[in-house]
Amino acid sequence: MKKIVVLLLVVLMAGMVFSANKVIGFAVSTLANPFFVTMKEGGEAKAAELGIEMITLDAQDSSEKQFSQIQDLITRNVDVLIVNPTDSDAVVPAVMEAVMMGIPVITVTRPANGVDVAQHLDIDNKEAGQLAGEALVKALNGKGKVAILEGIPGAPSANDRQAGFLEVVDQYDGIEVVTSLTANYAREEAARVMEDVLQGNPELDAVYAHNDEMALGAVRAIISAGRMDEIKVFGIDAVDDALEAIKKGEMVATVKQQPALQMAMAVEAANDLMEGKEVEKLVIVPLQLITIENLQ
Amino acid sequence: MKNQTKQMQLDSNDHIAKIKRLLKGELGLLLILVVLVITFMILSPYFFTSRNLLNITRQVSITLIVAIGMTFVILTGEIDLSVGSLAALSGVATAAALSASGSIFLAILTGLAMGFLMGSINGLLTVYGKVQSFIVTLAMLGIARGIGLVWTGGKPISGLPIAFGKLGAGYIGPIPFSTVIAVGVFIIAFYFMNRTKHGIYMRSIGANTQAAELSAIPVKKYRVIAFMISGILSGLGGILITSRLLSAQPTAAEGMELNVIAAVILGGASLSGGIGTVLGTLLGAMVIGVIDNGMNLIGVSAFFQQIVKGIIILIAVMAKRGE
Repeated sequence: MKKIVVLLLVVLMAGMVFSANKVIGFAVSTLANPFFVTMKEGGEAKAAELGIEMITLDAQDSSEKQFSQIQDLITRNVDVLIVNPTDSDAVVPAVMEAVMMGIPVITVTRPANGVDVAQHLDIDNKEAGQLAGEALVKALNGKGKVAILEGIPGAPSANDRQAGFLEVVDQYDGIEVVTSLTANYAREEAARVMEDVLQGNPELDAVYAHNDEMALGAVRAIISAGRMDEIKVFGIDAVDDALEAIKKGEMVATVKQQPALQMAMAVEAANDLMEGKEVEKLVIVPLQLITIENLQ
Repeated sequence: MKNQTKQMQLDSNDHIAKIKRLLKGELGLLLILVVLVITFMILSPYFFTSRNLLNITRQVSITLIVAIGMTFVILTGEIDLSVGSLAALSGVATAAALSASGSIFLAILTGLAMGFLMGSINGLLTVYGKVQSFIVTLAMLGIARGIGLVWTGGKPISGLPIAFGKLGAGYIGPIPFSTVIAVGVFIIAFYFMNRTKHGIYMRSIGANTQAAELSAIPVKKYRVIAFMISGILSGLGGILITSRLLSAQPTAAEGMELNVIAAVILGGASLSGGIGTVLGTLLGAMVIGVIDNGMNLIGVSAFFQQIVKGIIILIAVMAKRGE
């Protein structure tokens, strides 16, 4: 019986990777969000191009898991650690340990608060909120009731996407924000929250979600309620499903964050660090508003 | 005179038989652990390093502490599904107390008290309210989680003093502090379970409640105590998580109950009660910890990891039954 156990284990470990010369450890928050899957794929492509091995560990949105995973990447002696934190505060102890062990750290999309990392790549989330806001105002002709679906409470990206959006929308008296609730950046949760919002708001003209996953969840709920004609949906991230939704007329606009590009830039910076070169401390990746008009 | 000698001989045979029985149950699991360790040694040169092995003990420490509490509950024939939520809520309470008072001692006390309080509610409702523990703790899972979310507004409590981080992430020499705490809890629990009458009582309550009652064992009292123990240890787990991350997340330890119950069952406990040891739980937690860590080092994808872990647990339990 024990022999079978060993045999099975060896077979199951078929996905193992031998240690190459240069290794990047990528601690990602969750691969259940296609945004981060695209990010991982972009990183892997660039890493393959540069002849670097990349190990990806998925924390499934749990800060405790991410702590253990960063520990394990440190043990694994990766040359550079790229982190996409589940929580910008909770990740700090683990990141600090990496820094203390002499492993350069690059953070993507979310920062590690207060830690002096080698590089932080981000988009200007406020600008993303502003672009979405401007698109919404234009689509509604400056008048209408809007519901907002927020990201993870306290996450800097959510705070900024909210602030940027409200900055634009507050200038128009005709636009009224009837409710702003969190759906934690998740599709299923957004669908449920949206159902309640629809129930409580017989009149609604638009929905702005901090990310596409939530926007898509909202679309599902709106279609179920048969109110797709009345309500325009806006998101951020430009994941594939959102682009499909825009083509079908279910969503009006999204903001392209270029996650694949962001990660490719991070991998390049990691390569530079491994070769002893200096890298910029902060890199802001450019944004682009995507609507049916500029969709290829 | 002859009868006395014969009696003494029977007693010592009894002892040997008891020790043999003890080892046989855990020996199988130890073997599985060794097999896993050897497998990962082969698959990754980083596995069998002192740093990594100590890391495993640290990663396992929280699950182990909570699993020890769970062992008491399962031993009395009950279940506690609320451990993850209690851990999160205790973590929140600890952080709130720390931010408000600045005293680490007070904060820890608060966290433990929260665990004790919720555990007591679990116990009282189950034993005196006569509601099945599955239902009570299932409800508590939601209620405790909800209280934590309402309390924090869904946002983590961060900005805790670095000194507090020593508990969950610090070291005494080369050994992680939380490992030391876990070992301490294990020793106390082992002594309580095997060297005091309390442990024997709890085991008999699970094995045959009626017989226990007829033997004048205060059954109700011990059943409630089991839940109190589980509550306090869940609280301790929550404190360590909060310390490790220097941040209390209301969403922490989601799903922890499954890992914890898996460790206890892997360790040989029976869900119907009466069978189970703290040592078995320790080995069960180590098996799960080694699997998680080994797969991380190799870089197996998280989705694949879930499949592999489930299969290994199944195989391990089946292999143990086969003895």
